[in-house]
Order: sequence, then C-alpha cells, then structure tokens
Amino acid sequence: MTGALERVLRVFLEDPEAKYYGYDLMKAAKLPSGTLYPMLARLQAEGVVGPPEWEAAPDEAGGRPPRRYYRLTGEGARIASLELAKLDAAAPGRPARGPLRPAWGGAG
Amino acid sequence: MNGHGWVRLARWITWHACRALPEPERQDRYREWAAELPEFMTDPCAGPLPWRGAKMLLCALDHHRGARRLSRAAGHRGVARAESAAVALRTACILFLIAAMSSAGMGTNWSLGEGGGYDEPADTFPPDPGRAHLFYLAGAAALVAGLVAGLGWLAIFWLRRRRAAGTPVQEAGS
Repeated sequence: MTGALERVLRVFLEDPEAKYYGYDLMKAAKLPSGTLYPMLARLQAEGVVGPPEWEAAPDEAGGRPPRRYYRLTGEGARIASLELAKLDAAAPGRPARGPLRPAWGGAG
Repeated sequence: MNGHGWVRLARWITWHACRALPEPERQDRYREWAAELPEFMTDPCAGPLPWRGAKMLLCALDHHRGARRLSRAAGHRGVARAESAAVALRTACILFLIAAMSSAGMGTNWSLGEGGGYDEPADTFPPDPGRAHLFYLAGAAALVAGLVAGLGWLAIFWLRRRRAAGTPVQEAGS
C-alpha cells in the first residue's frame, strides 16, 4: 500500500459514514489533485468507494457550484480498516506516513 | 488580474486538462474540478490570497496529470497521447515561429545595415552589390522557417482529425 493510499484511507476512516469532496480530501490527506482523483477512481472501480454523488439542489449548495462527494462503501470500510490494521501491526508505533512538505498542487 | 480572473484562468486550464478524457467522463470531471477551484480562494486556513491563488493554479495544472492517468485507465491512451503531442508540437511551432521571425528580422536589419552597406553615407549609394547575398540568405532562412512551422501546423491538423475520428485504442476501449 502506498503512503498516498494509506493517507486517503485514514481520512475516510476518521468517519466512515461521512462523505468527502475532492478539496476536503486533498487538504486532509495532503495530496495533489493529479494523484487523488485517479486514486479515487481506482478505489471506486474496486468497490472500496461508492459511486460519487452530486450535491442535490442549488439551494443546498448555497449559490456555489454543486460538489461531487465520495463515501466509503460498507465493504470498503471493512477492507480499509483491515488493511490499515495490518500495516499498524506490521510496524507498531510507526507514525502514519505523511508528506514532509505541502504537496505540489495540493490543498494542504 | 483579480481573484475572479485567477479562478477563470484555473478553470480554463482545467477545461484544457479535461480534453484528454473520454467524452462521457469529460463533462462530469470538468464540473467536479471546476466547482472545487474557488474553494482554494475562499478557504481562510489556506494562507494569504496570493498563496491560495498559486495553489489553485498548481492544482489546475496538476489536473493534466490526473486526466492523463484517468484517461489511460479508461483505455483512452491513444487520444490522450495524441493530444499531448499536439500541445507539444503547437508550442514548438509557436517558439520556432518567434525564433524565425526574430532571426529574419535581425538578419534583414543587419544585411540592410552594416552587412549590406546600406548604412553608408548617401554618396556611396549604391552599396557593394557583392554583399547583397546576405539579404537573400536572411529571406531564405525565413522561408525555410515558415515552411517548417507550416508543416508543424499541418501535423497538428492531422492529429486533431485523427482524434475526431477515434483511434484503435479508443475504439477497443469503448
């Protein structure tokens, strides 16, 4: 598992029921857009992340363009927890991998 | 350029990046990515305004990388490659034209001036005809440069037509 994938999964698992949009994830996982979106597409293809949902009504969006949200599937949350637990068990006390500097093109 | 101008520029870059994506995905991705760009400018935790603007532009530029990866994953590789080649070729042609015009201008200036002897006092006119070949040399260089640039534009046109027609990779993927 790459460090980028690990960070994205950790962000999702902070609240497995929550839905996140791209900017949220870029900022929280400190990933550039060119890495994040292909990864989300791959996670979606593997069934870890559900199909993205558009924000419904314009009034809900408060005048700004509607966002597209991503959420873990039930199975995805289970797989992600398992994989991250395996990683933590393999290297106990290891801090979650993070960038040493803000990511290029990222929101962090 | 104000904040809205920067957002418009970032949207244009994003739109350009989305052109590498296959048609069904292009619109959705553009809507998604364009909607997120203003977040950079309105996020108070993202630092001072110029910094936010720079990050927004970097994010928009990085969408090119994301779009290429997504397009490869969707089996749209041929079109994405053709598009990248067209952009590179177009940039090269523009640079080449600028260089050709500069060199032709400088050559003409030199051959009409010091090289051609046209800057000599009026009483020495006509200048030394033996140096007039420099003028023709500069003209020939400009002609060759123009021909090369023209061939470049033709290549771009061909790549665009190929893209519109679809490539074997695209057809296999769709």
